Amino acid sequence: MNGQTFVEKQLLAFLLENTPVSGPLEPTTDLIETGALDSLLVTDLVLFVESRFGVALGAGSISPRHFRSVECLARLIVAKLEKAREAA
Amino acid sequence: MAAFLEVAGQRAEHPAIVLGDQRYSYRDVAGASQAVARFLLSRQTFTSGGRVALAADNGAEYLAGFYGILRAGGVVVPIPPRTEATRLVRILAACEVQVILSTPPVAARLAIPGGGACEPVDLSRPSPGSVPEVEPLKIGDQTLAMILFTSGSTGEPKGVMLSDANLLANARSITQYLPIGKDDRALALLPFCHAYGNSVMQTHLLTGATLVVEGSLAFPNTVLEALCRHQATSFSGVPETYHSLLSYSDLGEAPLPDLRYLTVAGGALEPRAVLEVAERSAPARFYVMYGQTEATARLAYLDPDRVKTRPNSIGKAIPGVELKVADDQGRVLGAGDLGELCARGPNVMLGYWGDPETTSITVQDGWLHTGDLATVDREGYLYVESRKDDLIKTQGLRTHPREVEELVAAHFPGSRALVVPYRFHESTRLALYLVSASEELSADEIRRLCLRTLPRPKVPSYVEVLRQVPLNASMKVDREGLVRRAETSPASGQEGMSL
Repeated sequence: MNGQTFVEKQLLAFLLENTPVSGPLEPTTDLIETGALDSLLVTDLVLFVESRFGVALGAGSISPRHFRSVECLARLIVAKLEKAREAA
Repeated sequence: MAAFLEVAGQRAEHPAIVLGDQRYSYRDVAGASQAVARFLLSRQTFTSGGRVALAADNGAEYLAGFYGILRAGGVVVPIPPRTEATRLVRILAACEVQVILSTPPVAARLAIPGGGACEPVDLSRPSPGSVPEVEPLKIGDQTLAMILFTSGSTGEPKGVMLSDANLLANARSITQYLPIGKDDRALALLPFCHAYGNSVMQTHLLTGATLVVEGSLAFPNTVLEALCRHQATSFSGVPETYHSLLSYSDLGEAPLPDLRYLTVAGGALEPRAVLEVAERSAPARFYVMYGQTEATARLAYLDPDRVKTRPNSIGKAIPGVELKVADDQGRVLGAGDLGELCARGPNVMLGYWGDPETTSITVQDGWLHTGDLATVDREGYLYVESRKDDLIKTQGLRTHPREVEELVAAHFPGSRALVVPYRFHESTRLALYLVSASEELSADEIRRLCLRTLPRPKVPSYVEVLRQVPLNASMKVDREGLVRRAETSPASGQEGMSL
């Protein structure tokens, strides 16, 4: 399993537990269109990402562009993890 | 209503509301409200003085619906677009709602019985013709304008009856201390269907200013982008809004030269955050305010010049309102003594719809008993310390633990639900404990039920199944222990247990 898929699975599991969306949740599901994301869930999602993956999501990252779907957010997390690894 | 039409006549071409790139002038809104009024008056189900539910997101439709209902002589019953089904049914039945005005997306979200969406009103081409004279519903000598539902001290939804005069008095008082000018542009993201958002709407429309709806409170930087793009002059938020702006936005890094002031109400923002918002948003001024739905919206504000020295104060009464800290007999207490905060003024509600008993307890001799326990210092500054009852404020909304407890217990017969507030990352969250002998019950199952049936601010963030009710030394439910348990649990707000 590559990094992107691994992160997507973790995010999907979190969202499945924490959103009222009744339909199928795929990595490409538009989380904003479906109304799944509100301010409380975004806060919890940020805290989850920071504690689970050890990456800090700066203010610039918390945007509709990166939170549009699980796929987008996973891409951001993987990029941040790779950058941290290179820096180390 | 008359005040709005007068302003609309004077400011006909000025934008009343801007949504992204769409602009609706005062003429558009007044025309559309006329169309809504004519629509209502053409319905056989509607009679003058009838209650009309209004379920719409912030936008031109909401304004058209709001003023259209009033023009038709109806009473506005705002319905938050995420109201849970059981509560919606109770509200509609309690005030014998005759018509539901909604937009298709909100109607679909709410699952309104029988559809309920009104015929769309074309804002650019309102139907021609005038609205006939109507006889509105009077309570005493006042015209009932709206019924705002809020959670009461028993957990039952309470319909706060506000008159035309209440709305006007509170708006006029607010505009005496907030510098709202007719060319201002307020970024208005708080829902118009609640008291705070309604006051932002009223104060700006009665001044001839512009409401701007753009950006999302879920993504705080979009708020800053909207403030910048629309050269917004003011912004209003609840404590959670400012927590997000402080933690997850670039507030203070780039200048917002047009922003003159920000306001917070709908709950207590802790002093550290008050100071940080004031510092990061300077030179814009930061107003800490206090109020409640029963007072239309606003009761007190802290002069921004006093924020640095009194960041934990709600300030003093707004113009036209009297505030006192009183004991159980209504006697005024001295500086430093804890008592109930009581208010008197032209913005105090007419009462609770269909509940004269609770009304007579809440409003005595013209004094509104807020249920908030407060102190006053020697200079007259007020400090809210706690609540007299169990009401909890989350995201600016009142919730009574019983609302959640009853819903959950009803789904799991033989169990007992206990809900307590707890602090999580500086915000107030709800913790739910289900006491059950069943070993098959899981926190996950309970969590799914809450997510399906409750609006977000009422969904517990911490869920745990207990085998027995925890008792304290007095053999009562150990609620303090339950609060500590949620606050110190490693699962609190994290995976597995968090919502």
